Amino acid sequence: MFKRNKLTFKTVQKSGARHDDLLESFNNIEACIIYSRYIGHTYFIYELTQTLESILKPVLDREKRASLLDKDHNSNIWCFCLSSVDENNITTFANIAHEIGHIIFKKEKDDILIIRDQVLQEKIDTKFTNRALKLLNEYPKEKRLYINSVSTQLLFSLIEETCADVVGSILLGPTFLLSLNEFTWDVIGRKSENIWFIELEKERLNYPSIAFRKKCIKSLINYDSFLKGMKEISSLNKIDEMIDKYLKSETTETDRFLIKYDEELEKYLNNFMSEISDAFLLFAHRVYDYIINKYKKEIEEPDYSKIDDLIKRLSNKIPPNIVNDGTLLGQTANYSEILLSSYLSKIYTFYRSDGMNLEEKIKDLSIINKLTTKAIECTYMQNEYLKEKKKTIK
Amino acid sequence: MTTEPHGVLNADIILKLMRERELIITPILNLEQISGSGVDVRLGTSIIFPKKTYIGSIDITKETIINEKCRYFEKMRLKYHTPFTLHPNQLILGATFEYLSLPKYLHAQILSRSSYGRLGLIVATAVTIHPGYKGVLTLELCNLSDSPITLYPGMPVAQLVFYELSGGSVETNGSYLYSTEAELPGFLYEGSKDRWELRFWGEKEAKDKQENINP
Repeated sequence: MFKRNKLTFKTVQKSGARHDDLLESFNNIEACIIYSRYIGHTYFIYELTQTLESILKPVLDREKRASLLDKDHNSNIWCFCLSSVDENNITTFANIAHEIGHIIFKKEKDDILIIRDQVLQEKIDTKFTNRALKLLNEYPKEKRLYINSVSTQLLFSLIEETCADVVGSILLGPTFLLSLNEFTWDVIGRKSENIWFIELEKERLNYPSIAFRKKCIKSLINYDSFLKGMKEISSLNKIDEMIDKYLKSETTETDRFLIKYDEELEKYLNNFMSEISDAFLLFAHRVYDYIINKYKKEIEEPDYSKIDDLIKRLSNKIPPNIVNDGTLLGQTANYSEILLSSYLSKIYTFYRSDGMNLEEKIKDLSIINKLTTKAIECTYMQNEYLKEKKKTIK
Repeated sequence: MTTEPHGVLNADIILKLMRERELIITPILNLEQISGSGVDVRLGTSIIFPKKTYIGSIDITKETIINEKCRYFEKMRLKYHTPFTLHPNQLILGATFEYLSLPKYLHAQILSRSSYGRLGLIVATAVTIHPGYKGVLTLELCNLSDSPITLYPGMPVAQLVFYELSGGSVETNGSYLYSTEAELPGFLYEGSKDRWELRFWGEKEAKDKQENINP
C-alpha cells in the first residue's frame, strides 16, 4: 500500500529521493518512507504506522490492521516532512539528516541507553550527586518533585536529539553543520541582516541549545581539519575565514547547554551546566563510535578537490552535478558534495566584499539555489539510469 | 575557433569542445546521444499547461497579463517513469532535462528528432539559441497528429545542432538565462524590455480603431 515515494518529482521530493540514499547507507535499516510538504520552516519525522493504526482501530480488527500495515515485516512507515518554504533554498534540506537520526535512535534505543548509563557512571560521582541533592533539598517538596521529574524527562528527550545530531554529522559532515546554522539562524535572537536565511517559527524546548549543538557537531566532524581543507578551495579566496565568520557571528548565546525552559528549573540545572555539557559531549562521541561500528560506516573526509571542481561549475553558472574525472561523462557528484559546494558558494557570495552590490548578491544566491536543485535532480536521474543500465547489461 | 568555412559542427568537434569544457551539455547519460552532427536531448520533468479559460484572449499588450498569467497557465512536474498523454492539437511548454552552456562563438538550434516528428510531435517552434546562453531549453511541444502521443520524462525527443558564429563572439543577456525549468514568455513578467514597444503597437491599434469609429 505504501511504497517509498522515490519517483515523485515535486521540488521537495527531488531532495527526498537523495535522502532515501542516505537512509539506505545504513545497510540493515528497514524503513518505508513517504514524503510530505510542511507549510513552514521546519523539518520533522513521525511514525505514520502509529497514526494509521489509531485511525484504523475503530474500523478494523487487529489482524487486518497488521496485514494492511505490513507489520509482519516489522518495517515502520515513516513520514518525512520537508519545509515547503525552503523549496527555493534546498540546501537547508540537509537538516533532514537529523530526522534520519530519529529512526536510528528508535532502532538502537536499548544500546544507546546503555551508553548513556556508562557515561553517567563515569561522569556523575558521589560528590556530584551529593551536591545535586543538597541543592534540590533547598526547594519546597512539590517543587522538588517537579524539578526532578521534568529534568529527567527533559534530559531524556535531549539524548534523542543529541543522537539525531550525531547521525546528521555522520551522514553529511560539515554540510550538516552549515545547514543547521542557517536553519537556526534566528532562534537565538539575532536580527536578520542576512539575505537568504528564513526565520524559525518558534523555539524548540526539548533541544540542547544551538551553541551546544554546534559545539558538539564541530567536535564530531573535526571542524579544524575541515577549515584546513578549505585552504584547498582555490576558487574561493579566504573561504575558511568566511565560514568561521558565518558560524560565529550569530552566536550571541554563551556556551549554555539548555535553552530557556523554565526559570526555576533552569536556575537549578545551571549549577551543573558544565558537567552536563561535558557528559553530553562524551555521550555524543560514544554514540558516534557505536553507530560507525554497528553499521560499518566509513567516514571519509570530503575530497576538497572535488568540491573545488563543483564550486567552479557553480561560479560559471553550471549545475554542480559532475566532478571532472578526465572522461567526458565525468563522475556523478554525491548529495553531500553538491550541498557543500552550494553552501560554500553561498557563504562566499554573501561575505565577499569586492564591490558586488546587494541586488547582485541576491540574484546570484537565487541562481545558486536553482542550480543546486537542478544538480540534485540530475544526479538522482544519472544514478537511476546507471542502475537500470547495469541491470539491462546483466 | 576555426578558420574553416562556417557550418554545422560535426560530432568530433562537438566532443572536442565538450572535453575542453567550452561547450557544456549536462548531464549526458549516454555518449550515443552525440552523433552525426548533433546531440540528442531529453524531455525534462517541468511542464507548463496553457489552461482552457473563460477569460478572453491572451493580449500581451495589456499590463494586466502580468498578474493574470496564472489564470492562463499552470506549472506542473511530471513524474519519472509515468506516462503523460499529449492530445491532438494540444500545446504544452516543456523543458530539456539537459542544461546547456554555449560559448560566445557558437549559435545553436533545437529541432525535433525525425522519429518523433513522424509521429506528429513538434518540440520547438522558436528554435534559436543565442551564443553564450546558459540554462535548460524551453520546448513548445505540440501534437499535430490525430492520435494522442504518450510521452515520458527522459525521452530523447529533440536534438541540438551547433553553428560557429561568423564575425566573432557576441554577448547574450536574454531574460531566460540560467533557467532550470520551463519558462513562460518573457513579456508575461514585470520589467520586460519589450513592454513599451508592445504597448506602442497595442495603443496605436486601439487609437486607429477609435479613429475609425469616430472619424
